[in-house]
Amino acid sequence: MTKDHRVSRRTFLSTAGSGALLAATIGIAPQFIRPGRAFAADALAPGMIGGPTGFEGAERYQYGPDTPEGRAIEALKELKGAGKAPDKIVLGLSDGSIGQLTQPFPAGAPSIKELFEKETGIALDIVPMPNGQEFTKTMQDISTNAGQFDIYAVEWNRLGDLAETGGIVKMDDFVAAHKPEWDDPERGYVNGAKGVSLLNQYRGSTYGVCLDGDFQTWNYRTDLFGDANEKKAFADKFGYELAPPRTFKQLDEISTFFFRPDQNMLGSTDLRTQGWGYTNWYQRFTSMASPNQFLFADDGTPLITSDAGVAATQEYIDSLKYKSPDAISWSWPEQYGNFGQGGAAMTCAFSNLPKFLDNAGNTGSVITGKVGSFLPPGREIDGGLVRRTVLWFNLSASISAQSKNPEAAYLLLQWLGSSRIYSWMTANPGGYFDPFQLSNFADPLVRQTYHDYHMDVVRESVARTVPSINFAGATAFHSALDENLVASLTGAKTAQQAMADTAASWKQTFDKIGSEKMLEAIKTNKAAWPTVVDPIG
Amino acid sequence: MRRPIAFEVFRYAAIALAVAITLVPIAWMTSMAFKPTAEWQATGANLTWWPKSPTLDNFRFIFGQSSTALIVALERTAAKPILSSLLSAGFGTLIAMGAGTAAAYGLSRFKAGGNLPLALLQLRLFPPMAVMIPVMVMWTFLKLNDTWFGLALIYGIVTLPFAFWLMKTFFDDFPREIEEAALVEGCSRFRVFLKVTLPMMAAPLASSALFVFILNWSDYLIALLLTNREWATIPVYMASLSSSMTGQLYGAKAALGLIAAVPPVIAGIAIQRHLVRGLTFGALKQ
Repeated sequence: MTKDHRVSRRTFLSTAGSGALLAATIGIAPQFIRPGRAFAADALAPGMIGGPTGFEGAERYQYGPDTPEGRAIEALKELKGAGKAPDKIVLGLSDGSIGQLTQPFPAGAPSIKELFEKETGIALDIVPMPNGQEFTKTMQDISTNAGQFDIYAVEWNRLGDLAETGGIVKMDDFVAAHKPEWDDPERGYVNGAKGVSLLNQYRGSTYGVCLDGDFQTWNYRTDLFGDANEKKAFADKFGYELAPPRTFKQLDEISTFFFRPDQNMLGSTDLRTQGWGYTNWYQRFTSMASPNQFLFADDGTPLITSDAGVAATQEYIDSLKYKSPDAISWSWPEQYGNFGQGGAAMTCAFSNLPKFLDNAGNTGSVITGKVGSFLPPGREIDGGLVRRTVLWFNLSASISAQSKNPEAAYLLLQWLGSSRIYSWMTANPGGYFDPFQLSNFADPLVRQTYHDYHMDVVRESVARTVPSINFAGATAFHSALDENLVASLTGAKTAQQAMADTAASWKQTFDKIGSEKMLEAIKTNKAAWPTVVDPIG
Repeated sequence: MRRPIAFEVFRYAAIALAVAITLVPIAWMTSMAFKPTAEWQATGANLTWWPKSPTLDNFRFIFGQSSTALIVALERTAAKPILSSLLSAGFGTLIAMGAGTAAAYGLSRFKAGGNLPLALLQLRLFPPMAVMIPVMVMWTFLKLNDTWFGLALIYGIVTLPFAFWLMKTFFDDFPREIEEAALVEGCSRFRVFLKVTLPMMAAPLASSALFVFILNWSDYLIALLLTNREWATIPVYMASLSSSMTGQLYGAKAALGLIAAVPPVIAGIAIQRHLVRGLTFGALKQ
């Protein structure tokens, strides 16, 4: 006897609907039945008026009344008392960074958000922005007068463009009134006032508060570099000892040596996709002269069509040979995923890579305990070694001109971006905000999550960091460079054509913005370039 | 006449190739959705078509449960984006089909609307993105930003030309004699449309609606620009599924992709009977 097992459409739909409902219920329900987290008991150190409590070392992040954090909180309380503070401050933030504000760290601590809300009574409303779309979303809010945010957080080098739109607030009066002490020689920005000018200011006025430290840093696999067989094979082939590269020539040789696609091993990796890749071109180009190969001459002429520009671009193209076949589509998720799976010998990444991948809690990573850091490779010029890296992306927070409470927004930023709270926040592995202040590099909790071996290299990399273009027109300048570099990587243009076309586009942007404004901006930008040249050998 | 064997071999090989090209990404996504974290980025000898240790972790993860092998915590679960996609694509389809069908009938039967066909065609002469800045300004003014109904409205507008032109073709091919017979029997024009024409147009309506729904359901750029956090849709949410700990959350993306494929598939099966008829409607002229 045969039995016909046909399923009618009605039965199918009914079953599918029930199944979907059940799956959704199973998936959604646990969110609502999770037990609430216990708050740590309050116990501020003597003389402190605020800060986190409930974990060992919390006193390092607490503050007295005469600190930038203390003044910010007191001023907010005053505004609140006078009925001039808002019920909430809306902060637009890259979605990968939000965890550092919302996830308690370390165990027993409150979250940054909880602490701020508890101390001020003002709610912090964090709106996620898709990673990489921060500037687009911000410009959207400005151009449509949507007024959805009090604070935007965008790449630091867009400050000039944003300031020129009138969409963000000049903070000079607030800075004068509340004294953020960003240039504190013990705890503040690297290079003091010069660092503050670079990160927070445009044409002498403060428009942003730095919340990041995206100095591109280099990492390598200690297990591979320490392997006796690898060392011998390398020395036999190249005639010198296998060690983290000091020059780009060594980088290319070591990368070629480790490039073993049959073993899922790439030589070195980096960000190469459109919108991200030019950061690596910067490193090769700016180290072409001592102490620096600048992008522009003092009269504004682009210098990228020089022999140095063409050679750096050709090197950049040639380096594809020891990368993934789809390297030009790689952004940080591909890069981090590959390195965490042990897929490369070296990588140039954001400074947070060891925090995430050399992390015992990251059970998916196979390289925990096997990561080292090294200073950027460079070039031997005039008896010295010129090593340059670049500050790029690096989120910086600005106040929307549409905010009805700009002072309260500023005070939040002063509290968040000052050395005590920022050190506590940057140590949190829940997001991307990285160390950049002197106090961050020395902080035990930060050094614990970022690792001692890495923090010292990051601090030294900062001293060798060139700023990317950070003046009005930065978006247009970088777009032109980016598009032409991608064209050169895909073979659509030669290195020479790519640089010539970029220079032509730069000249148009330069003329559009105006010579006077541009020359002043280029001069200011150049003043922030490093002068450190290392000894050879 | 029998075709040569070589021709038949070539024909079936071509069909098999086309099917493989179509199905491989779907099979890969299905497989990835059930792979544990350790298998997401396997390459070389470790690469397998099917999960070695199948798991539902990826599905649990996007609905808010922490994964056993992933220390990443999501700020938002997939529940709201799924709801947002359902509401915005569903109502957007209703708007486009409602307005498009009515306009198509009016034009097909009464030549009403004058330049309407060209005016509607203009909506498709340039990419929707080209007009998004003014749309964003309008939506902001109307407080439609980051709302499901704001998104549904723009979806309805953007896909209206498809609905209109598809339905107009179907109405043009529909025999007027049937409507005239009903009119002779005393039916009003509106009643003819409602009780006679529309029921007989179920097949074309269904296939057009499915086409429009898929267009709305798969949109990324418009939703990216017109939503922030409350009503982000599945494609926008999916783009955010990456983490510093693991890179791209391939498994989570595949799981969400699989879930996202369910509504169009269910809709397709539900109207399967009409679909084939709708796609061939009017193929045979009187």
